[in-house]
Amino acid sequence: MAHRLFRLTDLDTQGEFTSRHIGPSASDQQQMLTQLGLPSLKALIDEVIPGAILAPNQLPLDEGCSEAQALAELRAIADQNKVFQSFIGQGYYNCHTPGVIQRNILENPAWYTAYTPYQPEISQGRLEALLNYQTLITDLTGMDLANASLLDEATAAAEAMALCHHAGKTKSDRFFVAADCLPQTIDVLRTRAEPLGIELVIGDPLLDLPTTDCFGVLLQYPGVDGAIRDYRQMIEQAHDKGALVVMAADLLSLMLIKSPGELGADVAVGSSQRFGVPLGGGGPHAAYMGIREKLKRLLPGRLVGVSVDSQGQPAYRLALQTREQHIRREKATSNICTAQVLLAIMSSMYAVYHGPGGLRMIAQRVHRLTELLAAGLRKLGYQLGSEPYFDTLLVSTGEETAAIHQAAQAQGLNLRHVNHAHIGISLDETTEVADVERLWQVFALDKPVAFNVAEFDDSEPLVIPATLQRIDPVLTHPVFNRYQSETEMLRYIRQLADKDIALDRAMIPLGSCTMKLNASSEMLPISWPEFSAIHPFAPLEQLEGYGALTSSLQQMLCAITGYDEVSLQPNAGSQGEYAGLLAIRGYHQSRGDAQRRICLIPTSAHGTNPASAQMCGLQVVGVSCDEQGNIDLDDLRSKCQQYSEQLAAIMITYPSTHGVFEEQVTEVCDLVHKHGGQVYMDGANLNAMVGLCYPGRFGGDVSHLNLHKTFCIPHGGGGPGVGPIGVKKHLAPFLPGHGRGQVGTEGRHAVAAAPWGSAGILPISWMYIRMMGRLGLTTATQVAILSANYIARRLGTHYPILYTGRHGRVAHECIIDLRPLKEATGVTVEDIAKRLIDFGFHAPTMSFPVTGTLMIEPTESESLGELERFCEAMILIREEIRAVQEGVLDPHDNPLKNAPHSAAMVIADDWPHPYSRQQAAYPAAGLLNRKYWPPVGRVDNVYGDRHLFCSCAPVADYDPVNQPEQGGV
Amino acid sequence: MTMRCSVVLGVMCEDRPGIIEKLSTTITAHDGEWTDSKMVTMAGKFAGILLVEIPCSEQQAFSEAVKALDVEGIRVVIEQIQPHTSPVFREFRLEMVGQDRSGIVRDITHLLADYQINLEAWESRVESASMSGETLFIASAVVHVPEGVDLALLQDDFEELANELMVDIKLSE
Repeated sequence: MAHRLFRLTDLDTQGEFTSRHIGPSASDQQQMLTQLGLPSLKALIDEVIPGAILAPNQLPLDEGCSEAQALAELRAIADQNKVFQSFIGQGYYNCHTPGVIQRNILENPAWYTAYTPYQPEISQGRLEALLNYQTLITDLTGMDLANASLLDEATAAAEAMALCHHAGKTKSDRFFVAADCLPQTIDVLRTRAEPLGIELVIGDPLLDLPTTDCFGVLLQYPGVDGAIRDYRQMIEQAHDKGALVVMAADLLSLMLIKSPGELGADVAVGSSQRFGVPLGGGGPHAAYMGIREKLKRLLPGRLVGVSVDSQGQPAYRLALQTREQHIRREKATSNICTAQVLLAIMSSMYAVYHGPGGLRMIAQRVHRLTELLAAGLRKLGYQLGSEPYFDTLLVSTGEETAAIHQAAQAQGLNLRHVNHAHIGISLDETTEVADVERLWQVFALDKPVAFNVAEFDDSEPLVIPATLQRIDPVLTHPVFNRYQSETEMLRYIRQLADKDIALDRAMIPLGSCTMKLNASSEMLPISWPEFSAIHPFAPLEQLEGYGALTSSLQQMLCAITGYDEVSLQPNAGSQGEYAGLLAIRGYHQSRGDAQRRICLIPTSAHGTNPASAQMCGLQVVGVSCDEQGNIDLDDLRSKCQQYSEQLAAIMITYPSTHGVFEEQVTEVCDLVHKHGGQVYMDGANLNAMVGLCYPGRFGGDVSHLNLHKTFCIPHGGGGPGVGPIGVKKHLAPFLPGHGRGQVGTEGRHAVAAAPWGSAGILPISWMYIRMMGRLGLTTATQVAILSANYIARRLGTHYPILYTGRHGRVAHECIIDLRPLKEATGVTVEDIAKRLIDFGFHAPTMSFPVTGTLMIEPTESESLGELERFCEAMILIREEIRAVQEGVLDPHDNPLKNAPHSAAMVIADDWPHPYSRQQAAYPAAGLLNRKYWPPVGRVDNVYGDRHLFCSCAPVADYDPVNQPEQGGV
Repeated sequence: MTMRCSVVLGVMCEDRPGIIEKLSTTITAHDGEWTDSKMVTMAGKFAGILLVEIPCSEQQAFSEAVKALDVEGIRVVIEQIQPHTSPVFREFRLEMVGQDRSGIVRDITHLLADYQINLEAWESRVESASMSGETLFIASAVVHVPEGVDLALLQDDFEELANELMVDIKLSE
């Protein structure tokens, strides 16, 4: 048969990526629709989305394009950034990401596509890496306990301030901040302090602290200008007046100078960016917090602890979860949820790779080069700031200041602008001898430099005095001392990755987080130096590429949401919520309505909502939900009336956390508006709306978007996230601003350390939106809804589906109710979640928003084959429950109660269970080809609580001779 | 005027219609006054606690009368209240959430007793935690705390009961 003629219009690549991103093919979609009794996707959407909000027009975006074309377009944008060598410092330093870490962690989907480790049995690899991180932090800071990361140093300092406020024994509402703290930290502290009624006192701790009553103190160590001070006496003074002391410490310097713990601090915070994480134009990087044991219940963020599994073997898990906002809601001290897990893991691996010897050598090299740089600058006649210092010098440049900056620019170097008469220089791991000599030449201006580094190296003495030198051993644990060859390192990383389930193995059907494809083409650009090697405070004329990227992305997000303006600064969903509520607060205040402080939150909301409201100084009032899971309009009406004069806002999630498009959403918005309130629409479920309806058009005043859910930034095992907010015009003046980097917003509050938050990963979302285009994005939403309804249909005959809309349809996720089965059989939601591991699946979201249920969100990216595999597992599990119910399986000793089954359990000589090993490990036929073996049995939560242990297991456990018989920890 | 005494009755029986009527008839018959009560039914049983004021002279007869209800399946324990000056205390609300484990309620009430704290109301439940699915113990209580108890110390002692136990103590409005 002759070939048909194809014209180029038939052969274009516009939709090429869409078919890669969306799992079910066109014929699969048709098959799924037939099962649902529907003729088309449009017919489905008409049944799911209320007509009143369904948008008549197409998404106002370009058509999609091929991966190659999008990469080429982004390349042109990236090339507008100029990569200068940075000596700016101020909390951000160049470093070498070891190749073995860049390729096998940062660029490895086994690490970057994993979810937060709520299911410890399938997360032992990343939990171990995070435990290494906690050990690294506790060791270097001299603290008792450290969390597994916060968002950036500035917000970490703000979290520490809130912690001190809660823990404080004084009645004071003042927080003392040393004037030499990082300016971006002080900016974020100002933002966070005001709504909490905290007064910041900024001064010199030596002079001003003795006369200031305060509940807490923040000290920078070394200070922004490089000076290292011995704070021991000041800390004692602060303690005498009942205040707690926070030290913001540079991690690399702590290899050489005394730890905050040794100096007496109660809390240590800082950034671990320079441990192997690229600058990325400001982020993402992991920040850390170390604390004294007594403060553990107030520690924000995730904490990994050691427990035991069902076999008595050591196993890791998230500890002290009852502190967190998903349980404590408005009583939580912090709203932080997603943190910076991937970056924390990179930093911990940097320490594992270099070991204490390597890290000390890096620190000493940086420090020695700084000493030599100082010697040369003195010889050139410059006066330097106070000694001792670690890697940063303050140079008095007087009238030459502008000329020196100009000379540096001409050489491709960035120095820190301190003021008209001073310049700052920070050296780092990447600084070479030649760089020091180049810097001399810059500072010499036209004069010749008649000396070299080698001359000074023989004569220059140490500047750090013995009283401040660190002498206690650090990182003595074997994990930091056995993987220094690349072969060993490579295998260690692989060995940990192999323990975990991430998207590279199977679907992660979480209903609380959209775990869709994170395409490789979306990920490639984040490693380009034009994005990754940019300092956030580099001169704006070098950041034109970032300017173009961010304004393009802002336009795309405005088009998608129907809002008028977008701020990209919030570097997690929680920060977006915070920034959004602050905008509402600012708006009310500007109208003389400062008394509007009531925030209505439906009882079904995610815990972050009430926690964020509390941080904004708002009072949370709950609104009940009816039996269908919808907002109870009568209750809302009465609350609106009761608080009409005080109503600030309502926070609603749409579609609801129950996975339903509530018909009455416009009525809810109108009601709140009528009473003078603003509508905060949580964007967690935006994946059900893109291209079909627009929160900014049907009643929302502000929303945060989770770029790490809807727009393909990978979850990273618990971060990075990005949480931009979109607002209607009237709220735009109250969006976050930044003292540096965003012209015209200098006077506004900052919510993150860097002007564009986690700028380095914004290319991921840009690539996704660009490649999908208007048609692709809309189809993705339709298929996400189709797949959820398909699962609801397939599982609906086996399990009750809890909430559905008017036509019996769900939105993009469905909740299955396991409470009746538990009543009848004793099989719990946890048993089912753990049994899914034996089938190779990550469990759906457990007990949220309703306890005793599982919430499933398949996303558009999972193929029909994978959906079927998951449904088959759920149905086989239902059969097992039935067998328990009918007495065929023992009620206590059955595959559900004993799940998951590790290899060690199944191959043990002793098999005491009344069901077969095959049923335990290979409950579905397909598993023979793709079995995942959980490395541990079910993790015992209670043991972990009772024996809280949050750093690497004692060395004895690594020594086979001393291995305790029961495998205790 | 006759001297009046206060007694507390503890009542337990199978739940059925007419229990309250029987009790109130007995009280009235002895010129008593039903001043306060709390009653619940649980698993088919009725349980109640009643505060009754009666003439002190009737106390003996009343005591025998309520004990006689035993033949009708209504078990009653009667306790006389000693007139005393009530100690100075403040009322607090306790909110607790933590990992469930066996004996946690016993340990909590033990600790309250150590501090001479009176438990006025108590509600607790066990549920599966959001996200992690672990089993949580959730309780709220109203307590009367004697003057002079160090609340920070009390909170520390509470939180030591279980590593994950978060306790919030708030003065009742």
